[in-house]
Amino acid sequence: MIAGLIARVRSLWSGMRRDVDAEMHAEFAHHIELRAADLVKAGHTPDEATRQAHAEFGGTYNYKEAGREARGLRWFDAFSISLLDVKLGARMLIRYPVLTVIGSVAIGVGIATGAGVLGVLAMIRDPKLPLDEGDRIVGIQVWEGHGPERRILHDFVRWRAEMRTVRDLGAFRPLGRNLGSPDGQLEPVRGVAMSAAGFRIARVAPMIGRYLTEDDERHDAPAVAVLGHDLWVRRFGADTTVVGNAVLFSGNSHTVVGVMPPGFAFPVNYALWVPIRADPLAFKPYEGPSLFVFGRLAPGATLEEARAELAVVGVLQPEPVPSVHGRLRPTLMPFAQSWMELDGPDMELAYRSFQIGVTLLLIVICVNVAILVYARTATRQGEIAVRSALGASRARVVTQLFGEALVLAGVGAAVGLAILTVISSQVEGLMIQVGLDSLPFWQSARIPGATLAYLVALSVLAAGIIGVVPGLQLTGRRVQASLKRLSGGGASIRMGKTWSALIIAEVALTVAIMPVATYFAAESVKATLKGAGFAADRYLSATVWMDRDVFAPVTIDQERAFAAQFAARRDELIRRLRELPDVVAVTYAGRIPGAEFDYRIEVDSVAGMDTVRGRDGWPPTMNVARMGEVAPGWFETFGVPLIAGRTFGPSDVDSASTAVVVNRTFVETVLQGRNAVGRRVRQARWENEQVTVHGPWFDIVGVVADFPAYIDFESAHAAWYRVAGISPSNSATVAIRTRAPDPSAFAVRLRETAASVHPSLHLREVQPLDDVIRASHLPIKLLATALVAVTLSVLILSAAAVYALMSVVVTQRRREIAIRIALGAERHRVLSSIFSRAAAQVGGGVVIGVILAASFNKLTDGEMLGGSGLVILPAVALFMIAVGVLSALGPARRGLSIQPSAVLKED
Amino acid sequence: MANQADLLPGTLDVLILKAVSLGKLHGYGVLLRIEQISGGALQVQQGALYPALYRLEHQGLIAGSWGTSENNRKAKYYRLTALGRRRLGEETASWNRLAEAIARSLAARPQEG
Repeated sequence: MIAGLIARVRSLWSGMRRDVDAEMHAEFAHHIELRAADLVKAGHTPDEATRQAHAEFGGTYNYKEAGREARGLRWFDAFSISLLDVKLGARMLIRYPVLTVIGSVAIGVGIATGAGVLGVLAMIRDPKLPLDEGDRIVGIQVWEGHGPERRILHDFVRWRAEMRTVRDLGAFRPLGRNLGSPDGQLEPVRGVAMSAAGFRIARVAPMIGRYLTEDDERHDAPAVAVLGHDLWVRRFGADTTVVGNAVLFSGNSHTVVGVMPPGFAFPVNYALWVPIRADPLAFKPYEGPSLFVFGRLAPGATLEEARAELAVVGVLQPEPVPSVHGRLRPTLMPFAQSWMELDGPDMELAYRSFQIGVTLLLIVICVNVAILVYARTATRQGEIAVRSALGASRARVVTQLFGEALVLAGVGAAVGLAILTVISSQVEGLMIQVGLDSLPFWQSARIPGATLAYLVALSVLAAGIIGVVPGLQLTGRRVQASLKRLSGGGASIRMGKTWSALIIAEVALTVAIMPVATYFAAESVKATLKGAGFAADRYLSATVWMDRDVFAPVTIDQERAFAAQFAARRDELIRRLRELPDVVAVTYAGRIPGAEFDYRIEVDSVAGMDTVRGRDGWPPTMNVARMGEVAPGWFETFGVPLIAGRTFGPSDVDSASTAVVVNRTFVETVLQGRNAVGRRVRQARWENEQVTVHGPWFDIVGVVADFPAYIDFESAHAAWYRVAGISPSNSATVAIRTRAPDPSAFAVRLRETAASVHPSLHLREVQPLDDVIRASHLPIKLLATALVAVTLSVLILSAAAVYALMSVVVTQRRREIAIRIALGAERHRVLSSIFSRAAAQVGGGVVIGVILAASFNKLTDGEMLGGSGLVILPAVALFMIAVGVLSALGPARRGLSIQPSAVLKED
Repeated sequence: MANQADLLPGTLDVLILKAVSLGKLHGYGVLLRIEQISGGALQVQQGALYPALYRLEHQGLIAGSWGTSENNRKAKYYRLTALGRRRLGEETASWNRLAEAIARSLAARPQEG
């Protein structure tokens, strides 16, 4: 029995691989030839013999068919898509252009969203490191609550000594620093202090010279550096004798010992490597430098075994403050995941929900298209019935419809791929806008392979829904009925309850998501119109940092001294910039305008506001507000209008100063429009409506306009500003207004000036302020675009489905309508009877959709629609009804124009 | 031909197995061999032979391979497999039992007394 089974499988397999028809043809021809030869020997003429041999053999077509059946290949024949099916599909695309456009764009949006999201998720969740056995490189972190504790020098040293399942345990810390070149120019470089083990883990040999070794990590060893390929080409002109030369990195001279090959940026995106030199004895546990720890699984060890061992080795639980560090737990993950700080179960859940979400979206879209295809197939019932009668099996007919749907889905996939290509080509530009200058080496802005795989899978799924579902519906018992009716000319197709329910669901979905899409689209337009609210394109902004040795311990006094030194160098930089002829004005702040941090605040007793509660349940006076630290002259430099009181003057730069300035939104939301000047405000932490921790009181001395006018997802935030330079800091954001129309041209001059002040000052995020503001508007614009695209597809599909349904109803009821008109029924009554079903469906859908949208809105305390739900929801409902009426208008008019005499004659 | 008999349903398969059990044969050869061993008494519809050959091959009872025929043309030759040999034995025994039973039945006479 088993031998027989194996023989069958082998025969099927070889039958599928070989050209069975050609083989049968050769065998039959050989047979007939031999038979003819025998007949010639028996006395027939060659012509006669050949004719007789053919006649005796019989029809080869039937025997071939029987042969295929005998080999078990008929089943495959039924399900194989022929070129003819594809041709038919292509013809359908041309014959029904509206359906083609609607269907392919809708499927394209669905597939692009689905494949894009799934592909990016796969890249994030399961990134492949393009290194030898890259999947065996792991990262170890210590988690405290929801974030990592990175000051883990002590744990790292212990793990390195004790762990057996992870080899070559190493650590690294990014160092964004200035690199001095032979010509004295300074350039910021993405450097990294990394254990020598990192190079062994990566298993990539240096292109020139050597990479770092453990000896380089000794404190008394000479300072050395390894260069990345691009940096070597750009700054050293690909000089092959670069080894032994000195480079100035972070203000110190380092001897170049090697150059890595192109593309090497391990562990993340670095261009220069120096040895890590951290002495655990110099720090207490959970103090000292932030570190990232990595290693390679020992041969034979699995991720699970390493996790188990790490759980045993554990982390140091610091004695002095167990309550603060009580929840420390070590985690071990594939390296790329640990770099992105992805935690296990939550990530998995999010991934699954996204996967289900986008697949559902695609299914909804496909079901919609299926409704349209079903209606289209109504016109082809006769053809299907005839094909069935001529012997085509149900599988064959469904396969044909699937093939046709595959062509449509293929066009949709092409549209989807085009959308994805456009998006991915924009990604690099977007990254620069949002301040990311380089992705980790294992990621790229190109469309990942996983996305293409999803694209193909989703297209087949789409074709399955679009082709197979209507196909099965149409090839059931109805074929007989269709045949019977063929002569009568009536359509037997029915749009039953299932389709009605689908249309209602679809209208409901449209109405449910349209308010959010409308809201975000409006916000996005608002963001574009308002822009920054000032001439942001005339300013260049940059963050100034001062290099420091992060691996040496510092006392509080040293910290203060460092901050003072930074303040002096920052002021010197500002002074020198002001002297430059290209510069109109220079100012600085703690952070870029609009990127200030939120803090909960308390305003000193405001009469009559004790019982007022905001949307979040807090009294407005305990609101959240952004706190900015700005230099005197900041508002004047940007031309921010003063509304009341005063702004900062030189006398406010004093640690005893308590002056603060608030913005207009602060007055409107926190103080509910009351006078601000003269009131007191402080930073506070609230628990159970009690102030638990608070800062000193500040006095409001002035009110300015909102600045910038639009940030993130809101028109403006409540904000309060203090004078910069009072609290110690080692970074500042400078903003320079230049005379030249393009401020980015000033970037080089800015770097030169900073370098001339001191080589330890390095600049990051040097870009026109305009780009920064645009980047802050980017999330809402992307979200709005995606939502509008999805909503529009569903809306168009809903309209098309109502249209299709009405068309079928009118076709179905032609005779009835004709008779009623012939019997003298009034036109408006006939019209209302035609409309009633569509009206019921659209009405039902609108009601359900509004309820859904209102519930979501309520769940989010009105946040979802920005508090304008009462306007948006009825508007959306009316709009949907109007769309429904418009969609039904065409078929209804066709119904009314039926000529009774013509229709009745047909019978 | 008056002395030619139509094949009983299901007998073509066993005749093919018998034919190829005597040596490797191509399709036309199988046809001639059946006519030869039946003394010309059994006539096979020529084209119908092939679906039967493919069915037996699909079941693993015979195995086909391409070779060169007597007229120097490419031809597919069939031989009996071990599985086919066993099946031929079973079918032969079963056929003999049936034939004997039918013969016995037809030879029965009315019982006396």
